[in-house]
Amino acid sequence: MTKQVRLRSGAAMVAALCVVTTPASAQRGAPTEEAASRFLVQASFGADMDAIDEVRRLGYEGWLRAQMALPAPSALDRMLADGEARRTDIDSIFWEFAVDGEDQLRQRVAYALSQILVVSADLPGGGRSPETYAAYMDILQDEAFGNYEDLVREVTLSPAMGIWLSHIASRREDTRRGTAPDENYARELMQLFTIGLVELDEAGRPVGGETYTTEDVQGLARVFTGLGVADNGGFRRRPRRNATLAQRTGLMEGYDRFHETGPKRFLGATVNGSTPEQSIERALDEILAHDNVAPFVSRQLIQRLVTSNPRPGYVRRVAQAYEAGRYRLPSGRRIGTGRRGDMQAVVSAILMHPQARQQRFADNPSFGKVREPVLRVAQWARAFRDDRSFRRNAPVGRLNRSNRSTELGQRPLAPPSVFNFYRPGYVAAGSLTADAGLVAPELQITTSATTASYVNFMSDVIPRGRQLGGQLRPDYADELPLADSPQGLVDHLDTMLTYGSLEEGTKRRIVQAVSAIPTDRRNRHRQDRLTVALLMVTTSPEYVTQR
Amino acid sequence: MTTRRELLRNGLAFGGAAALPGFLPGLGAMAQTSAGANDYKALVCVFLFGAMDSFDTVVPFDRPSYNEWSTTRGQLLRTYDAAGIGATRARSGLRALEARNARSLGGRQFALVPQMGEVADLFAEGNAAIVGGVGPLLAPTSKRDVDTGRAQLPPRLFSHNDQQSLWQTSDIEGAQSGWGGRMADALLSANRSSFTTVSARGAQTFLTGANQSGIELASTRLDPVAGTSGSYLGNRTVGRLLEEHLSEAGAGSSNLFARDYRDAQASGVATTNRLSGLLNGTTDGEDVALGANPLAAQLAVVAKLISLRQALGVRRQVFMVSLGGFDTHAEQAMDLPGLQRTISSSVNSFYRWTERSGLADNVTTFTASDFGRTLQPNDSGTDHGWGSHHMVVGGAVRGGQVLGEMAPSVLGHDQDIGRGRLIPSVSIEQYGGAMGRWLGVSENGLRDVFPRYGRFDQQALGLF
Repeated sequence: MTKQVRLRSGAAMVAALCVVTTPASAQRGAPTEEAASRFLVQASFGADMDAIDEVRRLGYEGWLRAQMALPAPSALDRMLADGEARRTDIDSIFWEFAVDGEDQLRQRVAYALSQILVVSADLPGGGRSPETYAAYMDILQDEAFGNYEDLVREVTLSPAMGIWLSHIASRREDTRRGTAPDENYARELMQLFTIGLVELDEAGRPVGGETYTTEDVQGLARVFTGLGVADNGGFRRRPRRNATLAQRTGLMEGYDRFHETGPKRFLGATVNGSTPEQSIERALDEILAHDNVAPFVSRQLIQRLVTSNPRPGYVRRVAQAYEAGRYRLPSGRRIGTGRRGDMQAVVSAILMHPQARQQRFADNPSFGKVREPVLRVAQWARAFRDDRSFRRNAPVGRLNRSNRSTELGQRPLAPPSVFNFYRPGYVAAGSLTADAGLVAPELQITTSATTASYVNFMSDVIPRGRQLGGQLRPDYADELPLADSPQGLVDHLDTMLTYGSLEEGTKRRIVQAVSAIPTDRRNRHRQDRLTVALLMVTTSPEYVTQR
Repeated sequence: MTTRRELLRNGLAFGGAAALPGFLPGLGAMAQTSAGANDYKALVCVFLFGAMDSFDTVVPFDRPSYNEWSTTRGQLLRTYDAAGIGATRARSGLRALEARNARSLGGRQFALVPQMGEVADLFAEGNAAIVGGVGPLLAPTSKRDVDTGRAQLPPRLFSHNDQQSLWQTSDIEGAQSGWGGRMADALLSANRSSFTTVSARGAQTFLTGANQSGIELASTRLDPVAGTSGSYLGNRTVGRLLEEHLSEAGAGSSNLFARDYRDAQASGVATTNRLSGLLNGTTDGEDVALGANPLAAQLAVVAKLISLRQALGVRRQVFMVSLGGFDTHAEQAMDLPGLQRTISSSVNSFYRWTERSGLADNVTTFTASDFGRTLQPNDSGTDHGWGSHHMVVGGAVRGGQVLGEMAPSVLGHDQDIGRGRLIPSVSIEQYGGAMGRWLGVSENGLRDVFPRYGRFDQQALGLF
């Protein structure tokens, strides 16, 4: 399935939906521009005016349902669209999907999932087979609106995960060789992907006991033995050099003679299975039925999309949607299949909850989160995307590597370890959020180095996107004329990028700075004015954070 | 409890930028009077993320012990031979260590793997020591206590993030300060500077204290922040307004995340600009870097900052550098030797710089890691363990010794709680305590730095 043609602009999307359009302002109950913009900061990689209009026209529910109806793209197909010799790299694919994709909600959710079910795009040995990681990305893309349990099952058998957490080619215990099964996946599956370290109540609060012990890890490790390369690729840790695409991207398959066929005891259960597939299915049945899964997953997804410290009632409601597999939207319509783990129900619950939608909660000083650098850049790129700038195989230049002081400090899909870029429970010592007893995961990558390098990065990137290998070249055609009226320009940027939340003092200063650039008869001042305005907006705390 | 005003005075990243680094009153004068190299000391923590297999680093060398080890680890050794990358664990390739305290080792001898050759040289010179069996403990613990359920075990053993935290802070993930930062707090009266604790890679709780949160400096050269050196796009007014904006926007917000980010940005911009000028004015320390060696690059940053200690007005510093990739559950023979080469060559490069700079006795470098690994391998790697062996390098170290306890390389001995996971015989309190004492922290200060300090024999480890 190849996606040759991708709808490029919001206007084209509107036409495709073929609805009778009513001016948004004439509809009763339509979200305001600011509210729509704020919604899009939670539910997409960023708004432009077309997207804001669309949300106003369809309403939140309408927009959600339209988004969920869009099919999943395939990173693998995209990578191979020009053949294996001219593969598109995964970083380019990420930015193309995130910035240019119409299926914004799916992209945002898949990205959130990539920070929970972490596999790095920098897989060991991945240089030879980037398709392996692309196939992993496709699992997240597909299940973003599917089911979390299905997601865990596929991820468990994904060769990318098998390599990353080393359960591929793990063997059953061998007393002669003096070896035991690899414990890596068993541990991280429980600790990071499903139940966490401590027992939780249905609102995600720790209620004391540890969920698993070392013995549980050892018992569960016996389950993940005997998995090897797909399609008869062999019981090996890497596909052979001349492995087929199917072998490099297909789900791992069982090589029964290496599997632990005895009873596998963990979490008070005993799983019997004579093949890896059997044992894994039964083991996952046990783990996914644990009461922790719903709140553990729900809380983290809320953290990725909306706020770092969701109130217990919010977590509880989303966890309920997870358990029931269904969510009742404000209109009364139900979304979800009724099967536990339904992602459409969970995502709807997260975005439609009053905690997310109502301004009075957003005004609480403890609400919201710092946005990681990838989201900040994506929003700018999306707001001003040039429809012609996504050329095939155009590398994203410096966005691929983030080391020096002018870099972004974060490479999407490539966290330094399975513990992601930051921990869900990170508390920034000495901060106001810490004093208030709040967690702030994204502050873990906020240092004296990264705050400064972000300013420099945006300063480089805003004028021409030059540093980004030409892929994210901005199109400022709509904004440049506004540069002649500084207040109008700043108001417009505030609505579009910060949903009207910029402080008056900040806005005044930006208007002053813009006005300080004198006009010239050939309009060359416009780009400079816009550059200054954008740099100041994108480095304002209201933009860097979200609430 | 430190007041916010005190935090502000020390230029804490989240304490507001009211007191910008280097602009503290009287700092210049203090820098002059404490200029002597003799009065300067620095600790450098080399954190190996992922849990380094120290059983595959420090290897028993006397024949009976080596045979034991190579039998227990037979499967792993076979993967070395099969790896085809020239790494070996054959006894003939190991770098034997002549320990000055050989008599206390009961006839046993130890060696380093060939990839740690430079460290073996440092050991022979007396500039490096090995400490066996280091790890977090709540109290001295025996296998009997573990088996009978009487032992107080550290929480969340074998969980990477929690053990990294336990090593660095004495508490599980979520801790608000680390012992590096707390040592800096304890030395504050002698050393009032925002550059007391520095990470060369990422935010590190190890370096966070009540009075500093650790600057991150990722390279030996630094661009100043756009627009903050007077003008932007050639316009002075815009430059001034941009600079104001970067330090003030969001200060009045009610939202705590916005305010924290504003504080961090203001402080980060100020720190960067101050450092930029200093770093770009010298090359001292840059030669510590070695090609693409990522650890050497970080140590070059450390060296350069040490060379700027007078300008920064510091007499005591704690640094942290780090390397990842040690979680070798599989393909250990492919991955570990290269990492060991990285460590050995970079630690040596850094040590030699301190020698050339006349600072060999003033800087102590030590390794740390999440935990050790299982003595018993899995098919091609090892799993999560507990106690592990570490290295301490520096002119002040009583080098050429194998300190702590080196457990036998068999399963089922009385420090083995299963698969060769080792009960530590040296606690973090003892290991770090020795460092702190050398740095000049008082006994009372050390009790604040390490909550469980008094539970362990502080005379046991003769490191300095």
